[in-house]
Amino acid sequence: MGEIITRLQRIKLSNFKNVKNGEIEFSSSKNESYFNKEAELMGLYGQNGSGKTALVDSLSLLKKIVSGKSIPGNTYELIKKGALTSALQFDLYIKTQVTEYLLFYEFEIMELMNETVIVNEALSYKKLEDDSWSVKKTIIEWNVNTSENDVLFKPEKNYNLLVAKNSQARIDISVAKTVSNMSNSSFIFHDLTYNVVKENEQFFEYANIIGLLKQYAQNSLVVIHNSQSGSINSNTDIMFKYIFCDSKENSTGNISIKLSEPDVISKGQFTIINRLIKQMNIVLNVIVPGMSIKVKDYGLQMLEAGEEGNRIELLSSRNGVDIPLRYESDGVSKILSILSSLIAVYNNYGVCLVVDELDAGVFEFLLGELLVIFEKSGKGQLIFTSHNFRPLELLDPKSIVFTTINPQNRYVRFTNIKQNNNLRSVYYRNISLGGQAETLYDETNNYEISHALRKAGEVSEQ
Amino acid sequence: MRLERLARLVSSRKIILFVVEGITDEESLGLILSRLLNKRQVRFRIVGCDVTSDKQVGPQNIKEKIYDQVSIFCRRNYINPTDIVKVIHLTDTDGTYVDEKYISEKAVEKYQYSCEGIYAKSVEEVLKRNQKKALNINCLYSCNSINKISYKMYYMSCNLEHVLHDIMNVPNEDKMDLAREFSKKFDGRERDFITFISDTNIAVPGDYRNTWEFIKTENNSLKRYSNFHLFF
Repeated sequence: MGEIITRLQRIKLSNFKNVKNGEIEFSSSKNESYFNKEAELMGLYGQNGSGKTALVDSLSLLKKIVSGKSIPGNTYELIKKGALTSALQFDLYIKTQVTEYLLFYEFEIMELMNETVIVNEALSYKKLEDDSWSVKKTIIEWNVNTSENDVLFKPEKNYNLLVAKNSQARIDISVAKTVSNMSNSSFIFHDLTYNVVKENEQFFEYANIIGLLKQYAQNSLVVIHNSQSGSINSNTDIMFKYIFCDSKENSTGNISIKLSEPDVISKGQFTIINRLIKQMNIVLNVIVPGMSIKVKDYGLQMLEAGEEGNRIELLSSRNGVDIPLRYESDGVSKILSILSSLIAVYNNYGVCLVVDELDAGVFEFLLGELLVIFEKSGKGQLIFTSHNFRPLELLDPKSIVFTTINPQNRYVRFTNIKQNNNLRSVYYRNISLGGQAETLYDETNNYEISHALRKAGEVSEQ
Repeated sequence: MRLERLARLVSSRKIILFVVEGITDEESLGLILSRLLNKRQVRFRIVGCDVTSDKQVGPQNIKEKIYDQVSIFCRRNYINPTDIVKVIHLTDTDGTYVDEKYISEKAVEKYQYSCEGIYAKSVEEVLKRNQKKALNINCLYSCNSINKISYKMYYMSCNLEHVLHDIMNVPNEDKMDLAREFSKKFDGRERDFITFISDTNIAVPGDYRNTWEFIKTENNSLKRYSNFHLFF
């Protein structure tokens, strides 16, 4: 019994951004335990431009596609220069009340007339039966060629299962296929497809799997890019990623509030922001002692759409003194924008939070302590990139993945790390001297750097 | 296991560590040496003072003091002493080996050097320093390793600027400009530095031991000489 839990296991990227080949798995996937009722951390470290953010982008794309949404037109910019397509694979684990699944989802994208199209997709699974995993079976698979046949997807057996005795389903699934293609979204996870498969009793288990994955992508997988957090200034908004996840509900979303002046938001948003801030203040107060956030309500005001809204301003309050939130630092802003998600991933096995540049603007000591707390007593999965090395000193080496300078093998873990060895010093030593099978750092030479700085200075003097 | 160890050996880079007195040594020679010796293998440890004339240092602990410097370097850069294949110590001679007749009393703030003598407020003080420095240097140049790391000491006589620029008493505030100038002069033609330092006007002939015997003679340790060419 209990909640339904979905956990990310493995990610494989081909020709995605600067990653020709890269594979990362959580250690629970490696040792095939999949889910041990504990938090899993994955910290990505490496030189600038070595593929850390590529991983974040891939998960962002997964979230969009599996949610059934259209992928943004310019997504093809993520395809590695010189390659025709990018192929992404994700393994996930799902535990339901009655059984456990391993799911394998892969898709390939390419550019077509300045749009990004999905050219093939496959979803397969293994199921735990009598304590052993069944063989891998395909649920739905299609590529650009399959669509020319009468059979819209493979395996044919599954297609027939869906449409054989149901001419309406045949029409509906064909519409779903066309619509998903035209809207640059996934066929497997499109709402239209889901509506067809969930009506078919024979397809019940598959529909259930697809539905769980959709839910996971929509509500439990949260990806925060650096551009969405951080920098407060008087011209920008603050973006709160919120995720409310408890026995009663599971909902996620973004709320953006203008900081330069009081902002008018809908009543729905007003309710959410109040709830969000109440939740955040519980934690904020202890990580930035004495600090809390307040919503100053200036009362009702009409929104443009004619609907009634609230005019509010966000204030930060320290030891009884209130100031507009825009005067707070970038670090505070970073913490605020991810705090709700951090709370969710700390408390829920099934939440996966992906944060690009987790360390940006955050005090080193606090960052370290937060991660240790998460590692010890958290529940969900936290994937982050960082340039701050403090976590290397504190976290279990299996939680740390390094990017290499080899596009053919972008992600590695260190081998032969003794428990009492400080990963930070091992990493430093490897940066300057090598010693792992893959090179982790493109050599820089301090004398060349100072020489170049001086030379550049001469150019600007002229 | 063996394969793994082999792979590590191949991919590991080793360090040549230059132990020098001041930032100007590194500024003058860092880029040149790093380009001549394959980039990053060249690193400097700046002691910040002349360890060979330190009052607390004598032949009984001078090697220890040098190793301390190596240790500090290792600690700061997260490497092991075994990652260093060679320690190269560059020292100014500062007229260390001249006898009393080359030292004269003069009302100067700092010691003044010329090829003919050293000028200082107190002759005795210079004598004392020379005695100490000579003992320490003798101990170091004749030693081949420090804590199992290969070690060699080369000299710049009577100091770095004298050898590189043919100027003897450079005010501290001008040293960096000279160092930058020197580094720039060999930019893109680093091999010419070897020609420069091997020039018969500077390079002392003979093997390593001969060059040291030579510099100890008469007032040679005040004249413009070096044996650094033997490093190449």
